[in-house]
Amino acid sequence: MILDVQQLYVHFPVSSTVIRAVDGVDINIEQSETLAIIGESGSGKSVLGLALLGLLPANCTVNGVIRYHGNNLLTLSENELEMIRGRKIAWVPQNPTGAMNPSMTVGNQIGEPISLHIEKNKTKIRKKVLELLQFVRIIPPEERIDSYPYSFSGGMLQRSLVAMGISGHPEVLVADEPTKGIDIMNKQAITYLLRVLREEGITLIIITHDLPFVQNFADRIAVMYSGRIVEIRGRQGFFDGPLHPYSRGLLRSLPENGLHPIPSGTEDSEENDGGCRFRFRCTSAIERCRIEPPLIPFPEGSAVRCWLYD
Amino acid sequence: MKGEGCMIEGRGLTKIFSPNSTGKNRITAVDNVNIRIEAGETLTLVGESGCGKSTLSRLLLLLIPPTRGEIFFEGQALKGLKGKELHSIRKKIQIVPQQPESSLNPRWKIAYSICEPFRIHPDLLRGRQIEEELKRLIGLVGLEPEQAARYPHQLSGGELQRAVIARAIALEPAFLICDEPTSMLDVSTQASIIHLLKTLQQDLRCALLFITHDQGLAHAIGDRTAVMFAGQIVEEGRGVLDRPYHPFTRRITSISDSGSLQPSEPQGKKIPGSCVYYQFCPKKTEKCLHSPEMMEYEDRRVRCHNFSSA
Repeated sequence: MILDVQQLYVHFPVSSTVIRAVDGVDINIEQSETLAIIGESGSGKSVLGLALLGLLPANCTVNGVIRYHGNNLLTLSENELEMIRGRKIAWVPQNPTGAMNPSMTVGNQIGEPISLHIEKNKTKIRKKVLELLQFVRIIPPEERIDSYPYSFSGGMLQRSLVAMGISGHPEVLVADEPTKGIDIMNKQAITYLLRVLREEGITLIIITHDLPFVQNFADRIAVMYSGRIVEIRGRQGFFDGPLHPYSRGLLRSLPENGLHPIPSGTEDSEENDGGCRFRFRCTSAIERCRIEPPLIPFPEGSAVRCWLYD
Repeated sequence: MKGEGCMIEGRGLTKIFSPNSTGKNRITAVDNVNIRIEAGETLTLVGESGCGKSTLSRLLLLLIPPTRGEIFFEGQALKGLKGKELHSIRKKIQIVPQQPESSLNPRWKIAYSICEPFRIHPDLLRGRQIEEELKRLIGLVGLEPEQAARYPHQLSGGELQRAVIARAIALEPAFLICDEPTSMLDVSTQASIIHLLKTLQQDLRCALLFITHDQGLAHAIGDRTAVMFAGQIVEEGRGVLDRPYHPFTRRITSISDSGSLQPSEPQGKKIPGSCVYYQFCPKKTEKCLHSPEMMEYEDRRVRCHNFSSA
């Protein structure tokens, strides 16, 4: 086990109320596995990813344990975190245009983690960056290394971010929506890159709502809803027969399954009254759902948070 | 061939951008495109980033003039129309863009944005009528009146897209362009937005041009599909993605999300006058050094010398 998240809570105080972005998440991530975290916008998946890197904004309260090789990342000092972040656990942010510094060449931005963590010699860094650009198929690298982000297409920027993420040889790569808004050719290129990394044994955590993208790719799927994990399954099991009503709804929303949207909730569904959070949108809701179900274990490490399986 | 129901037609549309006055580095963004969409019909347009999809939609929106070619709207040639005449045609052509947040004024309340078309065309509705129409529109797209009183930053991506759709249909357009309206949304929200667009299209009997990278989506919603590559429509017809003829269409439809294929790269230099797909094509022959014309084959149009239907 490379990462062990236990009872993680990330809450944001907003004027008079508290946004519970991550609300009691437990998950183990095995060495060299590819875990996809899926869920709708606002389900807390990006916040969970940021928490793994210790990149949460200062105004939130974090509770719980994130154990990485036995150390709790949440109790490390900023200096100790610096040794891990970008070096051992790296991040590929979403929105490539916004994530790049517009006034710095792409080559220098990709080389930054290397110069921080591994190598100070500028010639060697440049050589390494050229290799990385070649690897992510930004070619010819010699002509592109000194370009500024504005001259790159969205897909090239996305691949540059992957190059930046892996430039410190991390053990774990967390990629946030790596296929959002890019075309099929670029999506194919990103999928190919992540596949190569996976075969090299890197642990991948992919935060996405692109289900076809993870369908042939992830080892396990974790479904998040309203700050909680509602289902953890092996990929095959998930796509063959999702358990949680929310997971089933997600699959039914896909174009190939008829584009059936999940019914939207009512206003009270935003309130957290201690019951199952999905019950206001759930077609299978029963009286018992007023009490929130626990994660009910299934064989082979699967689990689902739904009374239907009690 | 000017059919009764033909809503919009482009003939020989070409758009050349010249970044500098010397005429060097000219970019042919749209290259001799013929396109027609009937009333009540949906044409989906698929293609890579940068292939000219958005330039084509801007031509059809009459936002930029074509370098060559003509546009007919409800059978009427638009060439030479100015000022008032064009103003009254423009209101019948609307767009739902990819990023709703950047097409809404952040300092306007949602309701004020939705009513903007009535301020641009003040001869249609007045005072109380506008308020009633606003109520009807937000009900139609599934927003709460209370949400219309908010500012864009207070709504989610799906809610903003609903607001933009309300604005686009306010003047009951005859032709609606949807430029990847759901690529930034999660699957369930995507499904509900697509349902909304299809329902509205049936009610308004408008022609719909739906631009997308998502082939699953193109499948699910389009009557006909046009595939674009390097500024040209290379294949068009029904069932194009099920039974592709053109080598490029074959390529994009054979990509599985597994990413097992390596991304292909252009071979050799671009040869002037050759087929646009020449550098990438596995089936190229000597004939392909001369760009092919669009050929009709049964109910299909294909721009390739060597296409096969098998």
